[in-house]
Amino acid sequence: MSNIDHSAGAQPRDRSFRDFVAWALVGVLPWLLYLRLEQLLPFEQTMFLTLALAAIVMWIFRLTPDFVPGLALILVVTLLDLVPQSIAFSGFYSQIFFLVFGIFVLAALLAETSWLNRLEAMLVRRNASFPTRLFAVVCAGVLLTLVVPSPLGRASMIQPLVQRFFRPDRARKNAFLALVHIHGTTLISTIILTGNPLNFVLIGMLNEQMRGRFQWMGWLQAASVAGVVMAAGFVAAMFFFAAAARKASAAGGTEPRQCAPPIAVVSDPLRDWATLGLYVFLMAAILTRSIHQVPLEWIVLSLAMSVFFFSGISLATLRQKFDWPTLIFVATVVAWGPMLDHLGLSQWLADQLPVLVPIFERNLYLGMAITMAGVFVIRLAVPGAPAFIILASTLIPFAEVIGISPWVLGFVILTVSEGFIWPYQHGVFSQAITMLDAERIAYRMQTLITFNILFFMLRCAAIFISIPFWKALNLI
Amino acid sequence: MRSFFTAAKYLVIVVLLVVVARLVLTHNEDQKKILVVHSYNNDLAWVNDVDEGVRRAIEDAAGRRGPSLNVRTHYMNLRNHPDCNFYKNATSDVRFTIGDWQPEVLILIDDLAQGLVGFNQVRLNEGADRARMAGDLNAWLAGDRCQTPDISFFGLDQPVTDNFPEVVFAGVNGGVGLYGYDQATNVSGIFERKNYQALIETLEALDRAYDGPVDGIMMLNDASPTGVTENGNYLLQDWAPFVAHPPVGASDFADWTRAVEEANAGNLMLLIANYQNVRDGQGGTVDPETLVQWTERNAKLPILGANTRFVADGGMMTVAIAGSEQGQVAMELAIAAIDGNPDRPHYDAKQFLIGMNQSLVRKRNLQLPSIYEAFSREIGTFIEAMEQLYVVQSGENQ
Repeated sequence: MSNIDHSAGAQPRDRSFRDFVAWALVGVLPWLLYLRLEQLLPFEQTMFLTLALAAIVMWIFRLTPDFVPGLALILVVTLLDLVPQSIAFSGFYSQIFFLVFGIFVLAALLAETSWLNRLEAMLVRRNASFPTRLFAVVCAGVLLTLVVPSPLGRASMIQPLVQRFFRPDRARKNAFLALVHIHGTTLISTIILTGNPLNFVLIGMLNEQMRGRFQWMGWLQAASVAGVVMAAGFVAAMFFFAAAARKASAAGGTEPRQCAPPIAVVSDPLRDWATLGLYVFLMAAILTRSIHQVPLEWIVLSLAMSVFFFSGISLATLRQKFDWPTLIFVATVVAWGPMLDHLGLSQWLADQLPVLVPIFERNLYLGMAITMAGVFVIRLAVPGAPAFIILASTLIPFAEVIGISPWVLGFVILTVSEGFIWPYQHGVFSQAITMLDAERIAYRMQTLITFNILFFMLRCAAIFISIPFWKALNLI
Repeated sequence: MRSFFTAAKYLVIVVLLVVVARLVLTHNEDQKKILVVHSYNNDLAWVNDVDEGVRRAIEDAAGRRGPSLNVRTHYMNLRNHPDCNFYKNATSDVRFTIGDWQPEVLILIDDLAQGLVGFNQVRLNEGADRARMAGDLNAWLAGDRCQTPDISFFGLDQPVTDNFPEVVFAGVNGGVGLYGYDQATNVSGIFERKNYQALIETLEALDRAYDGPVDGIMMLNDASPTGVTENGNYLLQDWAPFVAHPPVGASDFADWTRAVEEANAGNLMLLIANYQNVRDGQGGTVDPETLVQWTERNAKLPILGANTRFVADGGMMTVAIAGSEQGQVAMELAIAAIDGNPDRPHYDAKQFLIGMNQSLVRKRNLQLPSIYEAFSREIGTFIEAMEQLYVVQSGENQ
């Protein structure tokens, strides 16, 4: 599979039959589950699990936007009085909701600035070499991970930076660039609290006394060893890409550097610098938390408010750039933990894994390996966010049973489930492929897949190497 | 002119923001931070009773416009994980919260929290032999759960050296010497020692109501640290007019069964306080309700509980220390320390609860003084006679 020129104009496949089957399964599978559980569990519990399965099937087949099944579930459980409204909708007034809201406002503001345009213009003006471009893409990806909590959002923001440097006929180089683009924006998204919306869901699933420990700095500290391992692996991959690209260039003669016309950057310097200042303020507030004792969510929310006070974002921009669906999605799934607790299902779910208990107690590494393999298998069929919610709802109570920190298990699930090999498994990858195909840019699918496998293994290795560190932190 | 007004507008906004930020920061500074640390989790009725008392004291303080309080509660959940590694991890969590949040007062509930958390936070008198105390405490914490580890394992070698918080203890059954509290200047609290006079009086009432011979009493507990302390206290107490037989600390169900048979053979009335940590021989613990109901069915003589939950778990009668009093007094002591009160008293529990299950009383054909029934009804720990025995209502222990 080399130099595949995927044509962009393919007819969209007819999905009506698939959708019909999928919707039928949304009805049938929960019904079968109901019949099976009816005798085992009380009505409320059976009904909740049945409805949850319907939502999960909807997620698996992507029948609606992600937030719809979550919202539909809490709506129906409220209407059926399975769970009090205050618990079902608790995600909407939890601190997590406001944290995500604030972060998204700041991210929308950042999307309005011209920093990335400036970087792009500079790379074009200097006629940057291939390694420099790789480096620039990675730096932008990592920096955005700090502030834009959506891998897809980051990838889209960096897209223009990458797009300009693809050469239609250099399949291998293009593949490297695409790899740096997709992994630079996704690999460390679970290392930093504000790097991924699911991180907030995990925080929301922890109990009050544990949340304090995994605020921004605490999260980074606990994830630091995994982060270092992944970063080292990434740097090694970069060196390999740069060296391989140089060899290819040397073999194929010198590549004529195209002198692209310089791009004009339209910018509002005041906004650019003010945004930067806002982020500096946020970092300072995070670092001085022990002095001022104001929780992260309220700091972020007040910064978001000041953005509006200073007319930093217009309403039109907010409507366009603010990720409402993800915010609502997070709010609906944060309530899963409290709902399961209320119905007494957390313990029941944790008890469904009796085989795992002795394994974890005897050999933690083996237990983790089995967990990761389970996540991998589930991720073959289930998209990232629902997979995380299913696994976390089951395994976080289980972590309590075996006496290890729920954060550790949540982090492991999250980090592995954010990995991907094939395009359908991750939005960022599929978006990149779609873009390459649409632009008729040649790339080697084989190279992409091979490196995705390597990066997936890197994630697993990072977790194994973190285990002694977590022991030292008294988390396991 | 326009740019002037724009700049002026932004200046006004900045000033407003600074004013609000200042207000928030001053408010945060004025608040006194109190961290309540429970050894166990809120799946225990006792813990919820203590929390109820804490809430009551906070409301009282708010009613008389006392200091502005910011109270957080932390559950160490040690009962569900009686192993050294979990003790260490749970302790590290509490230390993280203390270091991060820097509370002015620590309220520690039940014995384990005193040892794991309290010992490091006390300001010891000069001349106190901290190293020796740490060694003793380390061995006690390890118990039969693990080999006595290095002193650094539970972090006992890292005491706080400045900015000592006030420490308030509650739910402590024995003495506090083990935790260094008797040689410290920043510790006050309330003991949970049993009200022995009330227990003896009730035992006498049961003795009178029971037809057969009563040759003495025997305490039966699990082998948890609290159970062991309880058995020690039992030995120190004068139980006249009863003959007190040596107590049993049953680590598993087989031990427990043997103790009940021994009591039946010797015509001894059982006194049971701690029964949540009896191992079932398969790596788990025996469900407390199952255990109490089994005991109630198999004991020949009437059994007296000394635990808030005993009747709810299927026992006939209990005389227990009120958890709410522990919580309330602890919080009052915390507020007194914040208010600058120089006294650091160690109080004894005064309030106790009575609970009884009418079905079981009738089943044993006992005629008890009506005051017991009246009092249990009043505080909601009375279980009416029902057709079917051993059906337990929920929520009767608030």
